[in-house]
Amino acid sequence: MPLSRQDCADLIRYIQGLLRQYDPLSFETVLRGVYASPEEDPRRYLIALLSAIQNVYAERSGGEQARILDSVNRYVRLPDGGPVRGLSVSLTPAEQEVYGTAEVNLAELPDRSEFVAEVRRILLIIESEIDWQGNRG
Amino acid sequence: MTRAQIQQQLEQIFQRHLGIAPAVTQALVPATVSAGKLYEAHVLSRVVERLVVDEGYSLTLVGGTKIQFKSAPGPINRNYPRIELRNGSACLAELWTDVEFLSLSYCKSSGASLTKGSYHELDLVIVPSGLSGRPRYDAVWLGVECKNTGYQKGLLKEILGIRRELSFVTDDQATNFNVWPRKRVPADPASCLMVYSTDAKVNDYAAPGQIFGIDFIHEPM
Repeated sequence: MPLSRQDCADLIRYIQGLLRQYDPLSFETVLRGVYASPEEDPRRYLIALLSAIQNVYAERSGGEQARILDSVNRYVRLPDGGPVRGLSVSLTPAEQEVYGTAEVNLAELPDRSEFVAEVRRILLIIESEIDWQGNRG
Repeated sequence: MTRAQIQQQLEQIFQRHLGIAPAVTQALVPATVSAGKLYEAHVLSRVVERLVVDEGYSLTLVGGTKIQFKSAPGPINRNYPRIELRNGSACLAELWTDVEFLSLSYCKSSGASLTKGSYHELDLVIVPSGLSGRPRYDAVWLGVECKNTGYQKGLLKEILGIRRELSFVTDDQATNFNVWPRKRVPADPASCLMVYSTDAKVNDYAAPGQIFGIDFIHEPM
């Protein structure tokens, strides 16, 4: 039985609950990345919500960092011919005071590649199961 | 698959992958600090590819062994790493991250004091080699904005404002590039300006770019 608009609305609430439970600090970041409104069409909002989760966690994944660094190293070298060693974010003096470090090494981010892949798999299932013709319930 | 089955799978996925000490992760890398930076790095990887493949530059990272993004933009600081664009032994230009440029309006108003409205950020910027401080608008060869978020009208207005502060609209002018990103651009000075976004909707906003010389690229991560 295809997923109705009501099913999608229920799934939105369920996923938001999971985010609040497992990663409350990322909840707002994810919502800011959703370019849709649940009132307009919960089916489209559900797809947008899962896409935003994918994007946010892909960006924070150390596994993604390794792939990007490999890609950079195909085209950029150090003066001695060696590879670029990493990707980092340097902090402002105020942030350095708060976090006790001058920079954040993006490679130290936890590898979320599997999580992102699993969310992608569920997203594809939901897309194929949604009843796009029905406008009620 | 039913709604209940999907909910069950989602619960398992979140529990398996996010269930371990999220507080520790957040303390290590606060979201506000790293937000957007990995996407900037992803776009950088695309930009360097094109500079080598299409433009024939050899690229060298100098001033450090890691590519360094900044949590807040600022002037060019030559103590930071940057990528040199070399043609043979000559370094013609440099690629910097998170740099503010001095706006056209500021540079045209002689004697004006510097305010927060006098400069604007570009996520990636290519300028002639050897510059320090905030480069002038007419020093910018290429500016790139990276948006790992839903692309909305406000972001279009933002990039149109950046274009306004980089150049006047005019007939096509030759850029500093042979092929990529553009050989010619309807802007004077002839800077190239690009927007990369993970959101396919960025293409819905591309039309003004044809007039003002802004390239909108849908680039998933």
